[in-house]
Amino acid sequence: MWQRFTLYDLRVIGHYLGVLVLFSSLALLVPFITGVLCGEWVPASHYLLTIGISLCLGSLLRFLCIDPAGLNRQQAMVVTGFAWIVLAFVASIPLYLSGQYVSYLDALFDGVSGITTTGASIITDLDHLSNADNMWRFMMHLVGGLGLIVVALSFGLFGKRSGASLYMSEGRSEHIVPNIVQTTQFIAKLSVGIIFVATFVLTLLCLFAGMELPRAGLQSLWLAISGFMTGGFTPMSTSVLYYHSFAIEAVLMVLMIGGSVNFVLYAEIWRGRLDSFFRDIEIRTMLIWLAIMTIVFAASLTATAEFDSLPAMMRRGLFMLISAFSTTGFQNITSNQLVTAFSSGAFLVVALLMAVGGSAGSTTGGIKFARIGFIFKSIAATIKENIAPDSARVVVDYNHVGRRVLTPETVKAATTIFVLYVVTYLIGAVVGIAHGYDAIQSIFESVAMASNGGLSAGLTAPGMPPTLEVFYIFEMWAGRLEFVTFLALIVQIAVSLDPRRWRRR
Amino acid sequence: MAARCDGTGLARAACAPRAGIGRAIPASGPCDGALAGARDGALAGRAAARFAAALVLACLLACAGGLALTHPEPALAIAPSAADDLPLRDDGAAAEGDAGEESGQAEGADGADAPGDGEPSPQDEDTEGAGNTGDAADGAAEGAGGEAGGESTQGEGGIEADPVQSPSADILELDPELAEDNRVNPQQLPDSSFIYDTSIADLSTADAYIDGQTVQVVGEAIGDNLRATFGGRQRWITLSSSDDSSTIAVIMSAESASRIDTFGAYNVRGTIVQVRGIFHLVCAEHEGVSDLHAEVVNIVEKGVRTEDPFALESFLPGAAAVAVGLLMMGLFYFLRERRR
Repeated sequence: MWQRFTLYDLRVIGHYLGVLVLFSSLALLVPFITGVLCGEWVPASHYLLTIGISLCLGSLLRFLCIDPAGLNRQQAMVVTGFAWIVLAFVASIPLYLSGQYVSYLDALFDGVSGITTTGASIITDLDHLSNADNMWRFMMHLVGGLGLIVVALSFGLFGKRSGASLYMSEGRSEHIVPNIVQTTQFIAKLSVGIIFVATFVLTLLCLFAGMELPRAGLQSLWLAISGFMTGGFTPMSTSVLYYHSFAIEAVLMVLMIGGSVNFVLYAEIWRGRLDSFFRDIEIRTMLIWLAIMTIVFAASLTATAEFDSLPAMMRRGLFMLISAFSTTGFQNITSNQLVTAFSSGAFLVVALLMAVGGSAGSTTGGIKFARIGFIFKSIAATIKENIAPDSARVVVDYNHVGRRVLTPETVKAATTIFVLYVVTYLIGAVVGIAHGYDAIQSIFESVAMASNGGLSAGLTAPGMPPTLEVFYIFEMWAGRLEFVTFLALIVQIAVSLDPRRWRRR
Repeated sequence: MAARCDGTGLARAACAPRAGIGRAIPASGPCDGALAGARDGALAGRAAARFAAALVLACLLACAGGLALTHPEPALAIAPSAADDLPLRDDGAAAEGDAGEESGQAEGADGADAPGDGEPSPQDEDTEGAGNTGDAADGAAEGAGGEAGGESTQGEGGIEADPVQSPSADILELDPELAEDNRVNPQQLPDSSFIYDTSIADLSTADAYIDGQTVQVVGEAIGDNLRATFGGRQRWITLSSSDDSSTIAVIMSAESASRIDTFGAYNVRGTIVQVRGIFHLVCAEHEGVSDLHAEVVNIVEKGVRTEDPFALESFLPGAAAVAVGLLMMGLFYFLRERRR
């Protein structure tokens, strides 16, 4: 039943990982050019070195298999799984060279956080970071938010033979158009277009707030990328609170909500099928979920002395609610307020919002609305079956780009992922508690990592225990792969390394 | 939570209220006793009431006298070239007829009409009070890497301070021409009741205990001078701690903010600013933000820009790596084409 990888499989996997590493050298050109244009010669030299390293490493990996065949499903799964961590290692090199990190592990943490669009950061002195380094942080969000494989496919890096396997192994099962490459290109073009418009609007707002044009333009671009990709990195250490602008927060809220909508639904809107959008199971689940959680959140906030005023609750509470459910990680309050001024109920509501996340097929993390919707529909179906006569046949359907029947396989897949997420949240909480941290904060942080939410209760900071840091890196990685690919990867590696299977051959 | 009760001065305050935290100076004992005595005297009889009233008056005089003794030298003439380094009361109108109120800074002055700088009007960042414009570097150095340069009354750049009048004068009158300039005395200690000379790091982990208190911090101005109101009369400035890069949002008048010449960024160390004001953990006026309403703003040190010169040798390793990488890519494509 369990087939181990052969040497040829490993060579093919190495080859395609090399393709991705070579592609990352293209992405590194952007911060290099930024550094040159801004006169930041030291960071520019770092990025030139990193480009060279990625070219050498990528070429070395490609030499493992000069002319490989297409990827089969198992190979595609491993390529997808390892792509995130291999690229994070390469992406961390210039971050570490910036001197803003205590150790390479800290830089790797930020690299993984950036690529998986978690948004948690343990950089020191972010406010004095160069424009080149900041540009790289948000390039990681852009590439990671779209999906490494999506970006690679849209550029045709894997040719025509491997697209479907890779696309599916990244957790995407829906084709916007029948052709995979065209689907990925649609996603990329849509994202770039929205980011461009948002950058323009945010630049005007930043100029009005008093920033100078170059700085306003750069910061707006970065905020737009981080908002739509639901990443969470910000150019200033105080996050969105720095700008003290309700207008900027409002634009970012729109971006975050936009980033948490399934790309397939965007295609439906593009084709003029608005009814398809509003009847979609994920949109309906999102509206019901947000309505309930808003009421609970507001009630828990009114219990606090500090946030019981309506303006404070509306502005701070609503923004944090949207930031949490979209798993972006923007904050318009300080981490101290999150821990001190928020009631424990409000604090846990934020964690719960991150845990559930946004829509499947979007840039968000978490369990996803679709799975929650399927599970609840399954519960309703079970109750109906119990009530209905024996001769009756209960069929549950749902609306997602047309009417579909809810099959047992769909429910099983949704429930499996749901359980995996919950178990990971709990294991992460236990690991945090084992390191001596407060239980509620440990739960919050574990949820933030595994759901790629990024909001921090303070555990994620420079000087955190290395073992906890490594664990959170694995959590972010697993969350981005939505566990199945990650666990399958681990099993495949374990099987391949089992000496008993070598002897059988 | 346990982590927060673990060593910071403010956290100790939370566990032991009013235990002389940091450099806070609570109201003196005799005054408390006198007031209590006054209350008791009302019941004890007219004689006791008279005695109590006299005692209260004496205490007030003593307090005011003590405040006056710690004030800086009044009426210092400041060279015009150093005007940029002068501290500014955050009323946005330092030049406007504050001479009468400046008398509170007179040494040995009759304390009866000396409001003292130590009690700025709370909740009012446009206070007209006699701002203690030369507040301490000493407390500022605590945990904040304060660089208030407490060696002399000269500010950054060596300001010559020529007293207009003898310090021994009972009443000092400011030269109206100097009213626009403020005195700098980085050595001055915080001398008012209920001022917490604290650090930005402490404020970033503060709990409700310090909410609404007058605090004094020193930090580097970073980022931008951002508009706070539609008209732009008030500005948001972010101060960063030099120790751990924690930050605090400060709202101040546009005039105060305009004194900040440099904002921290890459290769730029921003202006070091000392701010005294009221800290709000969750500010109702600003929809729940954690902020500091500035009442007194002092420029401690100007910003510094560091050049990042182009050095060809720093690009050589990268260029070599790129060249090797491109060669390897070329070799790969050559081998692949040869196979086909």
